[in-house]
Amino acid sequence: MMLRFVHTADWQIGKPFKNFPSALAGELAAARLDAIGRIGAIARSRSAPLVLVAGDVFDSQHLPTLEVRRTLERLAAETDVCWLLLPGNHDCARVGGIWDRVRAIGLPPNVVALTEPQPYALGRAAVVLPAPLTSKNPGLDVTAWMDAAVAPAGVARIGLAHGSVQGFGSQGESAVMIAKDRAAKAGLAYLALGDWHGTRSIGADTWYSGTPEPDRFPDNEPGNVLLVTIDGQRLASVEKIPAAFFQWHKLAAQVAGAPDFARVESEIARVAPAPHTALIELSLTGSLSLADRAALTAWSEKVRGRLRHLALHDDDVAMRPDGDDFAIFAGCPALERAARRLAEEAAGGSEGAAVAARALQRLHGFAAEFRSGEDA
Amino acid sequence: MKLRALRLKSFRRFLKPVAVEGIADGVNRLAGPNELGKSTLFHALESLFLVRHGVTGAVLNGMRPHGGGDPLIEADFEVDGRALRLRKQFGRGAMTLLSDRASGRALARNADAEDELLRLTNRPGEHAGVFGLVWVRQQRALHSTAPDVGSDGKPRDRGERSALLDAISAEVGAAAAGAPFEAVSDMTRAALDELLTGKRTTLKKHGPLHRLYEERERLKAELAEAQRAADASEARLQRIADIGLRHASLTDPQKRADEIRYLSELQTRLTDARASLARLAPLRDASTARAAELEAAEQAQTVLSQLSASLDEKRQALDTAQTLSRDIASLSEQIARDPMTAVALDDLIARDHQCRIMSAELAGRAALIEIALLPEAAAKVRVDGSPVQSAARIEAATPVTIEIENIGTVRVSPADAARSAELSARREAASHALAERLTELAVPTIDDARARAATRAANVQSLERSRARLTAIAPRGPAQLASEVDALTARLTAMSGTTPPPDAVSQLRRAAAAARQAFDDARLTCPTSDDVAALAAEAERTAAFNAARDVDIARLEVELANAKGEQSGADEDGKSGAVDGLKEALSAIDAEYARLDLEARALHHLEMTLDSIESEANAEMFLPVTRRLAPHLSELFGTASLSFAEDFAPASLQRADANEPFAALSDGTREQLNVLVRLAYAELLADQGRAVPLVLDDPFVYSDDARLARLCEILSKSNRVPQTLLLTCRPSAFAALPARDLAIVDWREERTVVK
Repeated sequence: MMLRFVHTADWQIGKPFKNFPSALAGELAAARLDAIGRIGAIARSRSAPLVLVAGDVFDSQHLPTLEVRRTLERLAAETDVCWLLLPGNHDCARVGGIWDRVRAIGLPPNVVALTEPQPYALGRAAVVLPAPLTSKNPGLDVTAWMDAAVAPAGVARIGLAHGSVQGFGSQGESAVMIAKDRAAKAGLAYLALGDWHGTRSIGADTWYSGTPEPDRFPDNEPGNVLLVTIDGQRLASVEKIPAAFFQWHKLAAQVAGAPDFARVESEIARVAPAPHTALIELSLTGSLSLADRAALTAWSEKVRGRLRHLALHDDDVAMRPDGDDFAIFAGCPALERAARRLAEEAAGGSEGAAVAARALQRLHGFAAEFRSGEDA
Repeated sequence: MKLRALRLKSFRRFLKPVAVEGIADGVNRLAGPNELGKSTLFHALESLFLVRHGVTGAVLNGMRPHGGGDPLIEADFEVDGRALRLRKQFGRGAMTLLSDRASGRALARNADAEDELLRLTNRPGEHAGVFGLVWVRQQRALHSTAPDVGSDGKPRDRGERSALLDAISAEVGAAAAGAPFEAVSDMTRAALDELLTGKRTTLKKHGPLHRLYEERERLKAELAEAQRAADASEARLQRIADIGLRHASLTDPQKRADEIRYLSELQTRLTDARASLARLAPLRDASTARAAELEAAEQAQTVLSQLSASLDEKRQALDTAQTLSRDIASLSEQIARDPMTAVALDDLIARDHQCRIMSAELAGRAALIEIALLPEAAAKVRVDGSPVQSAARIEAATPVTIEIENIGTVRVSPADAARSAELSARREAASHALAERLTELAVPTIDDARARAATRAANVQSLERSRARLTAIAPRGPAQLASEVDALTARLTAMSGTTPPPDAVSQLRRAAAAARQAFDDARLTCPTSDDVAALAAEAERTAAFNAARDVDIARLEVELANAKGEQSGADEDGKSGAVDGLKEALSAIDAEYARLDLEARALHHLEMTLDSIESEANAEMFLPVTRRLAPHLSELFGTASLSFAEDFAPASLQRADANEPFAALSDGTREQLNVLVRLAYAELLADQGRAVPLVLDDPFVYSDDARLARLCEILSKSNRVPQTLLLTCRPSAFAALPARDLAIVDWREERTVVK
């Protein structure tokens, strides 16, 4: 008997994104809620009308109740999909906590909250062994109970848990440690994990699905859900399916002059073929002349206009004034003297170096502005 | 630029055409009396080079002759070796013509010619520029040499300062000012004004940095509030969990049964403990009573033995006192009976002594008679009737009669026999009295008297000692002591009837030890009263707890409902959930604030850097002038230097011994300094390839002869100025100056041929 389901985790609905401009923050938050619809569509299209969410459905224990209602409404709207939700460290099942609120609001008929470590039967084919978190840091392996969990013979055992697997460092999201060989010990056909935001296999039968909608510039591979197929009591296949709306990319480049910007630009185009949904974090190193530095500002504004968001880190780009930079002060030795003095201070590496560097850049900008006014 | 000729017609006093021709390199002198028209020539020179031909109004009228007419001025001059002629007609038919003298070709006319003139004289506009620096009108020499200052002392833009600064900056490189510097400074200031207040110490209110600051403060406050709400939520959830646990514990039937059993156990233990405690009391009382009895008996024993010892002691004392009393009586009697007192003894000794003295004196007076007889003469010699047997020794104080048997009589009489006889009589009397006294005292000799007196004195001492001892032993007398002995004896007799005997005390001691042991044994196994009290409290608390269980359950249920209600309200408003978001927002705004703060600091730093560059440049700015001025000053004053204010006005003259403000200097000195400054300007311009003739109209009018001679020396030496034009009404004053003399001649106006 074949069983097919979608494994997802770390929705973190309600994440505020307040470190982004407010309009974008709203879009990012909305995209997380919209992920429910996209996952529902994937489930339907792949004939897998069962979705296991491995923890952190909600971003916080203290989410406004309205957000909780909205989430439940979205889940309820996917009437032909059954959702099994597991409390994670962000939304652990505390007394009086968010899952009590979920229950108080009322679970839709197609939604199950697995807030107790008890087997949950999926018809006669399989049983889900959930390991809900009841605190942020339970201090023990919450999946341990699965080893001795009683289930009818012949059904597939599917583990559902949230936390770090021993020997595999998570991003410090959770202090929950899960035995690496839990699937083998507990006779699981598949162990569906959450907490690590990138898609990752720990063993053939143990997977982190990652978050379906990225929430940060990643060091891993987020933005997917996993389509899991169980044949009888054995895992048949795990398929990674993209589910993200926004594409987050982290880029680093070294620049030595304005001509390098084109190279960076084509790299951006390569990683973000759909720029209007792309968020790029660009970290630049190297060194630029004053003129090129000014050109960088102009260039970055152009690129920023093209992308949904550009976070540019250029603090590590050293300023290296060249002869052409000082040419702008020709005919005004006093200005040139000021520029050279600032350049010296900027190169000094003292506490005021950054201030002097920025002052030099402004001086260069003002001089250029004056010259262009003269030319006009 | 060098002038070669100046010609004019219908210009003020010169109605007819006149000319000054042949102006040479070096110093040119046009000397002549007053009203020759020297200043008019100067005016014409200025008008030709500085006034446009189309000028009208007061300026034009200022050029016209009294009787009216249209002024015409022409000059031949050279620029960079090129010979040019400039001709201007003012008033009717106004025009300008610039032509090349070599070819006679017109180079430009009218406006073009005017513009070309500006270019040739390095002037950016209509202003006097370089000419203003080195053309010194009559009586202007007393005015400040500061550029761009009108004759009224007020600032006026005459293009002089910029001309001077141009020349200076070409030399010192970093002279400040200049349009780009000013513009950049203005832009810096404007940008910084957006962020900081004028003093640069605080954020400009409602400026972007201030807004960010305010926003950050607002977010901080909001975060603090959200954090409080989150903490409260956390505490409330914890409370809900706690209440749930307590409720579960209260409603658990097993626990309930356990607690009832526990209470019953407690009560049993309490009853037992109290009974034990009750049994202990009589044992303790008995032990205490036995101990008290023993103590009383032991005390009585002690008192009895003490009394007995005291009685013995007193009895002994009484014996001693009685013996002493007897001794005292006996001694007193002995002493009273014996007259051999120390006084009596002294009297005896004195009498004896007197007798001895008299005997000695008698012996001294006596004649010594020694008789030795032959054996057959024995008893045949008699001395005062007494026979001598064999020999005699006689001290004869009185006459002695020696009878010798059968021989006769020898009578020996000492000298002063009368006196000796008296002395002898007195001695006899004294001896008799002494003997009588001894008899009275019943002593045979003086030595016996001494012995008896010593015995009596010893008795007196012995008596005193006995009396002292008696007083010590029986201060109130032996009778009192005797009555005390009687009283003690009576008391002892009375007590010995009531005091227990020693074996009875031993018995009591054994009984007390036994009672104590019984009490101690019982106490070992009995709880203390504190134990019992604690047990009672625990039992009471447990009983109360059990009794209150149902009440507590109801109360916890209410508390739980309340806490959940509060939490639900908090969940609805979601404030506590905003903490993470606010933290993110705060970190974003922190970054933005840091960026803009860096911007403010950078702009401020730039502003300060530009200011300091400007100050440095200002300091350097005067160097090109002061350097050129120095040799002239030392020529005129010896060691001296002139300092300038920022507007180039001379500020003070430093000479060997004093630093004098410029305004305090004499008219003569000021005029001389001003001309030397102009000379330095001219030299600077010449050195920068912008030479213009130095024109001095009647200078040094206040100078004394010595100074004037030195000034002439300076002018003649200054070969760096290519051309100097000196107009003077005092030919003799400048006679010593090597110069080409010029003259005003008629101008035979050539017809200008324009090719």
